[in-house]
Amino acid sequence: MRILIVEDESLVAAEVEFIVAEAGLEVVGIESDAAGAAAAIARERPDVVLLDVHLADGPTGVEVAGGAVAGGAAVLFMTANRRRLPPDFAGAVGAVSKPYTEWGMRAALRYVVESIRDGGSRRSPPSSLELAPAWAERWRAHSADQSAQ
Amino acid sequence: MTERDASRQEAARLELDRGSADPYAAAIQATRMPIAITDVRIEDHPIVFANDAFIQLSGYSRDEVIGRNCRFLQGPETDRAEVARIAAAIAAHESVTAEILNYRKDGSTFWNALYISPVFDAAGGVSHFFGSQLDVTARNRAAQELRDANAALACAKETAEAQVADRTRELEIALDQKTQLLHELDHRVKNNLQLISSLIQLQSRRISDPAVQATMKAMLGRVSAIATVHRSLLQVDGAAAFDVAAFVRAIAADLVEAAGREDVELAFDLSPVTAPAANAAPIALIVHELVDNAVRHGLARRPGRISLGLLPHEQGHRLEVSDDGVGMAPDARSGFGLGLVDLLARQLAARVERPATEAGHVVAVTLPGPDRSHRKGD
Repeated sequence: MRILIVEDESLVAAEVEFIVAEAGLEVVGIESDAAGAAAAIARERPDVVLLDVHLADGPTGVEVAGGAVAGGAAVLFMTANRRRLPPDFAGAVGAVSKPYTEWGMRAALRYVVESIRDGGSRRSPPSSLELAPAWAERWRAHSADQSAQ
Repeated sequence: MTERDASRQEAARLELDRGSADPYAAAIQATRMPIAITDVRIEDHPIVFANDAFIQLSGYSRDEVIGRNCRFLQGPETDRAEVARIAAAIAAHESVTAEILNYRKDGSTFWNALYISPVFDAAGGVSHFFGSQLDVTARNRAAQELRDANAALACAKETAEAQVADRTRELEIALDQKTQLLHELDHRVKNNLQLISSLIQLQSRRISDPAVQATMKAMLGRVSAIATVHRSLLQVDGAAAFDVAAFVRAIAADLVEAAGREDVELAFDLSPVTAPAANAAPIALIVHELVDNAVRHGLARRPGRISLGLLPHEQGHRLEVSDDGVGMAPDARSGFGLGLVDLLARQLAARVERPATEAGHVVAVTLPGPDRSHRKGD
């Protein structure tokens, strides 16, 4: 699975890159602002965008999420500003609140990647991950279908 | 014969015709309503009769009144248009009501509610006019005062409402700015904690010496504990307290999962306890050290169970972390982590006990209630 990291704090981005790589996933780019993120989404067509809300050009993460979702990517916010997210998470699957523990980020990433791959999950999400209501519903419904079969 | 003489003559005639024996005349004379009668047949319509109430109201003597046209009651402030309206009605031999400002002999004024109507003689012609007056000054003044008072009240209400609206707006702006500042600050603190975590992680990845790396990991765990407590702090508005039970649950789960220890079972017996925000970081670090110690030492090479209790105690609350692992050799007490626990416990005025057990290891920390833990310099 191909992952794009959008994070303006380069040390945090570098650490996320390690976590993604250790999970056996491919990092297709690291961007720090809205314009770079939009270009990378169009160019690389990532499966998942790990997205900070407050980027180098301001609180443009929510806007980037809209474009990523329209381009077919799943978005996971990583933010210290949970309040900035709209109730529908701008179409993102969920959010990991900063400061996260290393394990919290790993567990959230693994849960999201598995759920995207399988269309849902029978496990409950880790405490570090807050799912968007629509995605929680979709993944729960799917796993319920699976158990019924 | 002058008009004055004619008037006096007519007055005398009326007096003679309608003496005090006439009950109608007596009533007119004695009524409290001021009444005057004018004679249209004499030049300039002079007054030929004025009752006692009229004399009293006007302040003139009867002798000064008889033979004069009523206009002597008018003065500079009397409404000319209203006077003209009355004159036109009289000229047309019609009755008229009006309210005009009149003047007494002493120059003082009164509002006079007039009713003037023609008196017809036997031949059907108008011979006299009958005028009744009523001093409505008090009524008018009361009405005016009421209007003034209402206007003043409306004005005061408007002013007060405007002031309240202004003040509310100012307070809203101030509160909004304060809230924004708080959010901004919270955002920065969280980001900086994230930065510190990432920094330690990045560096620990480059370290090949396992002992140094373990130290880095331990530091990372402590920073993460503080980060976790901060995250849960400001997620509740108000931010004055933090939920110790929720924190214990979260940190224990994170430590066990992060260690990849699916063979370690967690048992919680947590009563809802909140602590002052000022004590959040020390409590978080103590919980982290105790749980980390249980995972990495007590249960290092065997599966087992870690029990976490948070229960009311006579001196506050009692936090108990126990495991059914190997127990601890007495010399293990010199570790940095355990030193940290004792140091932070002293800061919190908490008591740390390590009661002997037959198997495993128990640490009990008695946290004082909010009233005691705030005490400084103990």
